[in-house]
Amino acid sequence: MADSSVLYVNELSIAYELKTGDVRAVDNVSLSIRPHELVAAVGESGCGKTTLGLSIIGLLPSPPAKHLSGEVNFKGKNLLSLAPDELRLYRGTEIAMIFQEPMTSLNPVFKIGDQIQEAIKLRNSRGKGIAANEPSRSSSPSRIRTSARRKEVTDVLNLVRIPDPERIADRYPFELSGGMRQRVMIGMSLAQKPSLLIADEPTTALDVTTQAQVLKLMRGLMEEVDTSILLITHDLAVASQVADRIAVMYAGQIVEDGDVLDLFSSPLHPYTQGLLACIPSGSKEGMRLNPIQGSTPDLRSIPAGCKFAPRCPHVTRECEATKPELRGKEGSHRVACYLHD
Amino acid sequence: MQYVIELLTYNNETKLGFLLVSTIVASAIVIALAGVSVLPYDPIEQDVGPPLAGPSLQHLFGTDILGRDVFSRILYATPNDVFVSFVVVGTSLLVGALLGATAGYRGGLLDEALMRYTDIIFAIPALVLAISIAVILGPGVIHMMYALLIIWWPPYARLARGEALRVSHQNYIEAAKASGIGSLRILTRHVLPNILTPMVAYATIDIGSVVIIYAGLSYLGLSIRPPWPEWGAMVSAYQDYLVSAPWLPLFPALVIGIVVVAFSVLGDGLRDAVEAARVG
Amino acid sequence: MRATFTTEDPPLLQVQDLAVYFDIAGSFSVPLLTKRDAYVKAVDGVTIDLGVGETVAVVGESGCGKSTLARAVLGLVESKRGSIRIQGQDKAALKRSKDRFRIIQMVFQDPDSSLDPTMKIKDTVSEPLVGLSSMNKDDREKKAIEVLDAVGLDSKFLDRLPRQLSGGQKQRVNIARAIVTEPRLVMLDEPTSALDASVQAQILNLLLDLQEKYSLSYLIITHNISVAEYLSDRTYVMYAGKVVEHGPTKAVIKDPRHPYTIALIASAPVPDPKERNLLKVEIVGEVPSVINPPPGCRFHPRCPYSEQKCSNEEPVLESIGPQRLAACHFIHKTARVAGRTLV
Repeated sequence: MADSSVLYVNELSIAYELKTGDVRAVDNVSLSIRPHELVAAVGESGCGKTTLGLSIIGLLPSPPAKHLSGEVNFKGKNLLSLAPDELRLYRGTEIAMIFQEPMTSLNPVFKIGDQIQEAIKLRNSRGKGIAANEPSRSSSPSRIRTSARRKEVTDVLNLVRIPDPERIADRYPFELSGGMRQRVMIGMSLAQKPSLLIADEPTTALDVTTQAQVLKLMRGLMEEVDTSILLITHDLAVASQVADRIAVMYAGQIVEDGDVLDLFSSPLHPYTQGLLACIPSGSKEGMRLNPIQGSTPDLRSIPAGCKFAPRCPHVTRECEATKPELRGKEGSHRVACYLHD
Repeated sequence: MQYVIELLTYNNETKLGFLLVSTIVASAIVIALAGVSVLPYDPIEQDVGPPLAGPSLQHLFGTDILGRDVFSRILYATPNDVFVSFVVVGTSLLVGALLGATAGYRGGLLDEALMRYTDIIFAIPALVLAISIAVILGPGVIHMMYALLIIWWPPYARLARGEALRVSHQNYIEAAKASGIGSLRILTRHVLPNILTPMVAYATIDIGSVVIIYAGLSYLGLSIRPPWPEWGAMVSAYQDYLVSAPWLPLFPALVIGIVVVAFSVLGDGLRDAVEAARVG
Repeated sequence: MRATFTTEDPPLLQVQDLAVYFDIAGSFSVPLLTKRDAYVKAVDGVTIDLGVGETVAVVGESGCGKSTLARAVLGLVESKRGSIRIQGQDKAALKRSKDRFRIIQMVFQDPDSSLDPTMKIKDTVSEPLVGLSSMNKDDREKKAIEVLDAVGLDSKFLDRLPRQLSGGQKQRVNIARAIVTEPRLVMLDEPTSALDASVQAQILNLLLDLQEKYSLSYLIITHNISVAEYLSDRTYVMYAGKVVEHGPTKAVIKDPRHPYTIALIASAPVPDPKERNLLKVEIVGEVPSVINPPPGCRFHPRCPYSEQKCSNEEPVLESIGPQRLAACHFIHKTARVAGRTLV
């Protein structure tokens, strides 16, 4: 399991140093992703999912973030033990990341085609990607190569099904819609054939129909580009539509994870059940929504015991005393809850 | 109030800056109220010590050609520069905020007129303009202040206008309009409070700028008349002694520098604090 | 042909053939060079009704004009043509009296920018009363306490500033401000979009409670089909400035007829891994710019049923069943498609 996986996060804990003290954003998280698998990390704001994503790709600003314990194993190598220079070689080539706001990921003063070319140049200088067989090129373009370069750019745009790629390559980011920009980002990331793509709320800022297109594209490309995806989202419905496995996070911990069909047919953790009950379906005359009582905890003052205890309808004294850990074999349906011991 | 304290203690710059600035301002107030009595010597009295004496325990900054105590003269001049700069900046802030905010919020003719007028002011070098006005009005502290006031408010108006434009598109302004709140109340109750904080950070650094310009104009002889001391005027009067009695021109210049740096440090820190508050 | 409800009371809100065009600033060369209008036709001929006690949803994606529609009803933007009647009275007539502001209130999108960061909560909530009533300061504060309590915020929130509140709390403040003048109609622009799932659910339930308690009518603007389904009785679907479909919410969602509505509903993620509708949906193209909408039906470039007629002639809203309207030349082609399935 750990050997065949692309990503194996092992007991990772990360804290932020604030003026008022340390805040544990990621608490003893273990997660694995296999080849061609889409794993969704689902949770509400403050649950640590973004911190988890950033720490895998090594983009966490530290300070104020600090690594407390655990490893991030990518294809067998612990990324956290690498020097920044070594880690940089992985970023963009082996592990790629896209974010919520494509507008801020693309440079507004350069054309789309130029930016894609830049990404390709970078990839080539590290000797990986679609054109992995071709020799490393020098950084200065020469005339002879221009048409070949253009073809590479349109290849990328075709990969993400952008119509009329030659014309789009000549456009600036502001001329494109949000959905198109996000597709360009996906294209730029996947053009380098990374083994892992981390997508942090990639469709949250998009319209519903555009979201459907982008999610379908991402899912479809996994086979074509031979990659796995870690999808970070707050939307359980979105996760159910595209994920193979789901990890539900709460206050920095994974409280339940497993195969998407298992998790939906029998959600074990009260938080998961609560989240499912929050999704409106049907009209008000039917079933009234049953929202989870209370609000997400303040990570600066975490009570002892289970972090969900204050809001849990099945809380017992044991829950308030000691924190339950994820029980179960890696890859099976696991839950951190005393109800299911 | 609590917000102000948060801003002032945001980082080392703000704390240090606040310390220095409050010392300077407090000294200015004390000296202005108590007058000559708190000074070691009368600043215009001659022969309180041997002429052109170097710094010593009795005369911390030495004495000048007329035997006057330089330290007392520098101290006595403090309220002058501090108050002029506060008045100029304060008035510019007020006028600029009101004009700029109205222009930014309302747009239209007022906005166009303001923009073109400030364009004109910006096109002319500030110092040249100030000198011209001062020459026309004649020397004197008050005239100097008028000259500075005329050229000092446009940057504030621009800053206020830009901020007002940003604020005007916020939903809470729309919500106020949707509740039938009139423009005047929206301006005073919603727009102005939301644009003031960045303007105050800018104004704090700006005080240093006024001090320099004012000292420069005094250096040119356009402000206070002798024998009353003023830092810039002192630099001018003592510059011939740069080699023979260097403490004479250097101490006033140094004091100008320290005052400007103090306000800059505070203003710089405040600017970071305001940014952090906005983002965080 | 227009189909409306007949009720005893005059409709609370009647929008008829409303058009809101925005001038593209500055450029006079654009119309000269391209021989086209230099307008953003944000709302282009929209007719909407809302009766007392009803909850109506206006559903659509970005750029469809739903937010602009709300702003026009509030009087925040000028309309190019069309009429807006509130409780039977024309809006222009109402303009003189402040009644319009009192009867209709709005909860704006994005709870963060809807609250003045320099104003205490109690002042924000009581501000609408300043312009609209003769209450004194104490009375206004009392009313503020009352509505804050109604939305579930106790008195310790009175003197707080927005930055001390969570997203959900801020939205509750927004809602409190919207009901403080005892309006008849509250418009809500994406009331839950910026919120976490559990908070969303709390707010939705709160809205239902308030509706009962204060006899409110709601106009809900949203792109979220589930929210529309949960809260509303009737739904209007908007696309590129026009209404393309209308009917009782259950019917529109279970049996969408307009091709755009079908695509919209098919794209809404269902929390069921066995029903992976998202992966089967086939939607092409992007939401069009409303500066120069395509001729004919605005949806035709993306429509799988379009024919020649669609690019020449704009369809009008026609009755396709009891209380149902749709604007499509070939609406019969979608007759068999049911529920949230493929196009």
